Amino acid sequence: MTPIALGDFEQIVLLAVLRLKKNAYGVTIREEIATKAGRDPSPGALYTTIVRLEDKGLLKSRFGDPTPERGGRAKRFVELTDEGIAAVASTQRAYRRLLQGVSLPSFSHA
Amino acid sequence: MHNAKIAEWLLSSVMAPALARTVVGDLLEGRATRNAGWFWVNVFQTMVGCGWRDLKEHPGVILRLAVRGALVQSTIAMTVALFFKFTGSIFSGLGLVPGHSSWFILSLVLVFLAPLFAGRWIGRRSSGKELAVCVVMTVVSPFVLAAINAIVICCVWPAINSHNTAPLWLYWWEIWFFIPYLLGALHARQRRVPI
Repeated sequence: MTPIALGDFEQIVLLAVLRLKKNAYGVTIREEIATKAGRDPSPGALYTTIVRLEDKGLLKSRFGDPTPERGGRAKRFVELTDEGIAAVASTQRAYRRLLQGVSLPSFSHA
Repeated sequence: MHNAKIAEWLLSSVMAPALARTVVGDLLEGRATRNAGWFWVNVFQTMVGCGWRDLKEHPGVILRLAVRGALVQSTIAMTVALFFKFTGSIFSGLGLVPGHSSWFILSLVLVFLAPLFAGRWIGRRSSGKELAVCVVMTVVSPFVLAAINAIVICCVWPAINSHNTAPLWLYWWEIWFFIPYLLGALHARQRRVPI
């Protein structure tokens, strides 16, 4: 099966969702990206990407319970599908292969 | 919460209402540590981002809808204009001069009600993509009206109206129609899905 091509920001969103496990929704995903990747994505960019990843079948969503601090609006939690996990793994394998034998300053392979 | 409902209403022009609710919920949660300006900047950023996505992903669908909407609007506007012209001719023949109220009604129909109706027509056909369709309709409608004008006035009815042909740039004032288009589209959406 041909792996689904992922853009740079799509990978970041998928990895953030993967890290957050069951608690991934708009606010926490933005915070995770800001903390770990040093980026502050606009909500517009983030929601557009989430919808696109859902359309590609890499993310699935479910609604949580409404909460008062959100004006009675529910959270929309997202998580990776099996295809999403496969796409992230495939991209990361490609990165690792490309990095083999390459030394970057102030970077060590995990 | 009134602002949140307006934000939800605006965002529903670029996404499904259920998604718009959760996005507004996220922004309200984020606003707890920020000011109201941050909330509105992000509402409009989200609208622009999602509207642009719709344009990029469904250009053919959106262009077709926009052209059809512009045709609807132009047809209404021209029908009303022709009606006023004929009735005006009849009144002139009888020695009566149309009053200010007639011109006011004609202007209201041409610059607000016709585009508002076209917006409603679009709103019933472009669920979740209203913003993108209204933007494209604003761009294409001067061309559509110019084309209809050229066909009707120059070809079909040249004897009476040949002096009314106008260069394309004269139609660019129609850019204002974006507001009634969007209001009509969102109103149609609101009637289907109460906020």
